[in-house]
Amino acid sequence: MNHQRVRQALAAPRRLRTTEFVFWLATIAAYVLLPERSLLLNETAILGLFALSLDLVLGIAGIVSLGHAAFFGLGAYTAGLVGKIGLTEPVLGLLVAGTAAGVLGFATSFLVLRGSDLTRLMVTLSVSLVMLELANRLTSLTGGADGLQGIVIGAVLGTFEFDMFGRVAVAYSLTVLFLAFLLARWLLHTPFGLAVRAIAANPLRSAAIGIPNNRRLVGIYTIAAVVAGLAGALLAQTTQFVSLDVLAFHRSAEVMLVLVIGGTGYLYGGLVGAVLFKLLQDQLSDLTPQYWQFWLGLIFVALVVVGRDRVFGAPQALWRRIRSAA
Amino acid sequence: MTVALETRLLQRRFGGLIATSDVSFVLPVGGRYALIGPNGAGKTTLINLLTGVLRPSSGEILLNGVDITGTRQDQRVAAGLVRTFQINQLFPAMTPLQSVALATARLLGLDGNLLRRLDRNQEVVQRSVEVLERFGLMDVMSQPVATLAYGRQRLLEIALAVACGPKVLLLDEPAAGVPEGERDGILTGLSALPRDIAVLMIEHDMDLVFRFAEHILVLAAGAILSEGSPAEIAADPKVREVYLGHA
Amino acid sequence: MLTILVDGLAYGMLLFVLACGLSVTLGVMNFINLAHGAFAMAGGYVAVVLVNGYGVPFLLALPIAAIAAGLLGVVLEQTLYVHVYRRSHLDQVLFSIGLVFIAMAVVDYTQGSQQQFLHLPNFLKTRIDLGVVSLGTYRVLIICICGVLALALQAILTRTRFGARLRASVDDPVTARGLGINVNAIFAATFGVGSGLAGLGGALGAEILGLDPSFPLKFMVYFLIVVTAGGAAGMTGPFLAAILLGVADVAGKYYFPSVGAFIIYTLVIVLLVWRPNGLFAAASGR
Repeated sequence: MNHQRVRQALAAPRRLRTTEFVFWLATIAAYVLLPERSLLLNETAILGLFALSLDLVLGIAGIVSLGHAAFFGLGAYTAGLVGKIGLTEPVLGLLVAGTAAGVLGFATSFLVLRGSDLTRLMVTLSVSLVMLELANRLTSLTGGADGLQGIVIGAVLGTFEFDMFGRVAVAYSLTVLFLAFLLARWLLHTPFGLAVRAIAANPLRSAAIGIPNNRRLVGIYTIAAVVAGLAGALLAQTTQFVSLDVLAFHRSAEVMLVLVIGGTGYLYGGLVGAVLFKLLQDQLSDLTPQYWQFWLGLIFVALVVVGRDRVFGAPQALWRRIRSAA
Repeated sequence: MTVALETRLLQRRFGGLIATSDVSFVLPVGGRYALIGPNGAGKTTLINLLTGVLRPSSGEILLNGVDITGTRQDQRVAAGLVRTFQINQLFPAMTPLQSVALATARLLGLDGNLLRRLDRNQEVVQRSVEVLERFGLMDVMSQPVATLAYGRQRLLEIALAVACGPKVLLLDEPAAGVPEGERDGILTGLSALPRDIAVLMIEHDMDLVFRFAEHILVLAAGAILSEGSPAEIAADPKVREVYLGHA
Repeated sequence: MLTILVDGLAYGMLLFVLACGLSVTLGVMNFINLAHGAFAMAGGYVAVVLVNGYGVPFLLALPIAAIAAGLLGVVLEQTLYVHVYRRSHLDQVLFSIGLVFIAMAVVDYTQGSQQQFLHLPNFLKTRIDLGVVSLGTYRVLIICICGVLALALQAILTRTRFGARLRASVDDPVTARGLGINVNAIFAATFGVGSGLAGLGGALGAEILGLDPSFPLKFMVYFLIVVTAGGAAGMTGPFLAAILLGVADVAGKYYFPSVGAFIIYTLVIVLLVWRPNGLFAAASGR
């Protein structure tokens, strides 16, 4: 019966694939088997969450943003300040930070609705530069160039104290990442998610079938900002320090690279990319910062010149086949 | 006769150029009208005015008796005025089913919904099946749109508009680019349109026009030159002159 | 007040010379080249090395720096950029950011991360007394050189065949190719000239702009402002935009030092929301 076929076809993209189970099992395994790499795992989880948020904006909605660090940074500073003023329960801090980032996201979303890719690039970049300047100047609030110190973080939900090996921190970050991921995955398969994808694919036609393009884009942009804010908050809470670096341009550039490496538009790209990126950075970490910037630049250039599809063509095609297998 | 779409002295100027000149016409409910005219006559401008992409310099547009001259594009779609495009405007990476389901979701006010599931909504499923069956797209419903043959894509172009639940359908050259052999498929699709939808079709393919339309409007230099039944228009010397020049 | 105006004018004209190459890149190839500042930086550092290290006269170092940057531009264009023209904007952004990172790292490694100060010749450190006001000779030189360049560029654009072909390519590359215009060659040439001009600007303005490895990023926004506010068609738009920006920036930093850079960034945002296609652009936007 056609109705049955249609129902199944509409429901199919939602189904969990085996590879997804494998991915998350591997994540848990990494946590269990690598206690001595807690710092790296934590940073990877945070970067992955940040990249996931960019995927919502760039991969799903098609908005090229060079200033996504604005939300990451605001989330970080907010969570840090919340910790400083005595609200030490981390989940509470997360909620406040996410809300703050969401407000900024909502406010600035109207700026990216119009104009070309270049305009959007510039506007998003400018917003993050404004945030950086703000953080730089409001030294009484942010600690300026010295960074925000004296952040006190209590036990998660009142029961899980952060230990000095970072194990609780990693578990905390991974849990937040997982929950945010579930949320994003759910979102993608709602009518809203489909509408956003249609807008990205063909805004002319989506408007012509009655979809209010701007309203939907504002929605996804705000949601992405919240998630980015959560990632920033995690950084502040698990390291108990926030520096101006969270708003630096290279953060926005790096998260873009991370997402591109992993692949845009299917939500796992940011996570996969974060793992690859962090592994790479870890291997090259004995080199001085100038070298890292050089290698990073080289990777960007090589990736684009050779062609993203050629480099990742085979693995991505494989992944796509795994994903769409009915 | 109940009026589905009406324009009154619709005019659009671009500086000194009058692209649409005091166009007044009436499209009845269930009407099958065609809009023809030589290139540059202003047909696309008229469609853009009707859909809200362009604002008129003066004049009014009424949909089901309601003045929609100042409304936005998405408001007009919600009110039942839907168009198709001369060049396919589809969602390449999505499937025909997803496209139609989305249009249906929008019709039911669900496109902004964060909680529901399309497959669990009986009405979405029902309507999607109807549209896909009507245009013979059931067998390709789960293929990415970009992989479909051009003729199928063209059918989807129209199907997508129909899925929006229109009261008035504006078809911009539905047969454009479709190979000779596949044009019958377009005509079949058009004949399958529900009778309560009023259709205004822009076309150059006279064969299609004369087989489809009950009433023809001829646009030239932005103004309505003539209108009438297909037989009247075929015999009208003014029309022949504007297409072929002086005899 | 007049000093601020002169300073702003000098700054603005520098920005124009620096950014006009980027304007063409965007206009002709619809290519977002965020690495444009790297060529300016290259010119600046070449000049510094020549003047400080080898005692080359400043006025001689300027054209050398320009040529060096121009050559670098041509080489990179032919080897790397050509592969990237047809890519998505995202790819272009990634590519040019990558180049910036490489440039910054190389400069940091070879020259160190501190700001470089060019040893200006003595005659430039004087002031010209015009009775009502006294102007720094250096700034006057900048205004003169940039002014002459702007006029020359405008003349080339509007009065030569090359300029006509360039304008055609900017307006509609597809049609231009159809007319037999070798758009790629035109583009390569303008890219080279644009990079050379950027290098000249970097050398000429090193003292005012501040030369260190982070130069390309610091000024990326400014160049983009000039280009997007000015529109990609013709020289007058970017020229006016650059002057406005220069004066606004200098005045802003003088009158509202605590707010400084804010004004510029906020202006950008306001501007782009109000006119997404640029202040002076024609109706056709890309």
